[in-house]
Amino acid sequence: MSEAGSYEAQPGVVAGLGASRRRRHPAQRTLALWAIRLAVVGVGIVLWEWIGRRDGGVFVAPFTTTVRHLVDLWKDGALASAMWRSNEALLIGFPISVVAGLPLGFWLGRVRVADRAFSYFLDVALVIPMIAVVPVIIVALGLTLTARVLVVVLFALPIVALNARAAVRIVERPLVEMSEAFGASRRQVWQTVILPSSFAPVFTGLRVGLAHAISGMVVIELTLIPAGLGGLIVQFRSQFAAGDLYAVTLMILIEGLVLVGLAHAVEQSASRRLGRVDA
Amino acid sequence: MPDPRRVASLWPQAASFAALLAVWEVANETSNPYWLPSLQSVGSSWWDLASSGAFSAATTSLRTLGIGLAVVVVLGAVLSGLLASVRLLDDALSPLINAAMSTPTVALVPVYVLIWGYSDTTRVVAIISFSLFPLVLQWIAALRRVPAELTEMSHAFAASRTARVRTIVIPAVAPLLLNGARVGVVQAIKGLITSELIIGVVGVGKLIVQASDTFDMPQLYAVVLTVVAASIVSYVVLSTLESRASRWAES
Repeated sequence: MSEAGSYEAQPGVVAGLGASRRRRHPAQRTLALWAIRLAVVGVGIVLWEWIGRRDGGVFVAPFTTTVRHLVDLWKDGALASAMWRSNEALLIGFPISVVAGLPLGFWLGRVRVADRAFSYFLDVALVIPMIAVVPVIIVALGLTLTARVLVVVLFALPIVALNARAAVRIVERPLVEMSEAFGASRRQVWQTVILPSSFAPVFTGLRVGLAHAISGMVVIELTLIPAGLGGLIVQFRSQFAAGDLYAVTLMILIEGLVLVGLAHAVEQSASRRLGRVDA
Repeated sequence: MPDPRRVASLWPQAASFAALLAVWEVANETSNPYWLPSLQSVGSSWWDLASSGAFSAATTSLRTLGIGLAVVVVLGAVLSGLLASVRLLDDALSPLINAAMSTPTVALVPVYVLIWGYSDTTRVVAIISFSLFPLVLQWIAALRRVPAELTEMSHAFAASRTARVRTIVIPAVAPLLLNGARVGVVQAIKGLITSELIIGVVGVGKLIVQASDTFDMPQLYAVVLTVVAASIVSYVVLSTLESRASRWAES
């Protein structure tokens, strides 16, 4: 079935026939795309509301209730202060991951022995469930800011470093050799050849790293000793305060969407600008 | 039979690993922080756990992992088949899937606990929400990879459907399908351990929470390192399968 599907998906390209039958006007197509997206999200919200009402809001708080509680918690100030407390770790931990992760990745990407000796630790860090390490950190450091920052770094740094490493590895050798042949200094090679051409994967690493960092921020607060946003969640869960629990969860998901969405927007505008410079 | 020269070329990895163990031992000997047990005590604690049958808690974890993965594979096959064959749906929904993947899934686990309690369902749903979307994105890419020219040519030569599937479709999609499966398994393990740690009363999560509640450092390290080792092993096994498959597909 699948092979028939992808075969049919581009009939104009393959056979040069029947292209006009399937091709839609671009504006019409955009409309259709948004209609489908809205329909999927809309059906999801309606289902959520329906299940919540049928349930009586004990285990599933309906969508409308969730939004009301979100507004109330926000006005109350409890949500804002919990968010601030949680995000401290992100505000410190993510920059550390970037400042330490990028040079580490560049170094591993250019120095073979270092790469062989250390890169597999980063691979392992990506593959294992890092949350299993969190209890060790909490026992060692308590639920201090240091511990929360460390967890954010453990979640974000490996992906930032590995993407930076991959980025400088794919820079074409001939380009580097040519610029060296023309007497470019080490610094110039990095500035004019390696860094510009590794921009896209590096930025992807930063964006995914940010998403991981937000996960790390939430993970430590949910494990063992709750605090911040996680503390609110655990408190509401034990009180069976479904509306508040759903509201805080929704807030965390929205924060992730907004921050990573912003990173994505910055990434795209920067790569467009860089593309213009290259051209 | 491993090539001795290849084994010898692994010295940087071996050296850094040995250095890590050495630093661990020296730190333990000299300053002896309470949170860093000696390697030997971790080893003997692991042996105690293994021989007392405490690791049998892991069998419920593994069973849940199996159920969760089965559900993910079925849902993933349906969803990726649908999106790979209907371009419009893919264009409409892939951005939503990407957006969903940028949210911290772990925040949803307490909601699952509220709805399903400490049951298997909670953990299965956690596994699904961690691994379904990453697997689907890989599988869509895999299904898209069937080279149109080759399919066209096989039509022209009137190849039978089974011959076409065997000679063109499977070699084209198998490596990426396995890649997706690997991503799915890694994510599923993360979902499982995350939900067990947040629930705290079942499976491996229970062992970890018990050890940290009683400040039993050797046991805590023994369990955590076992989880780490198990996830590395499953990753390595799946990567090996994958590289076998892509070598076979190229031939």
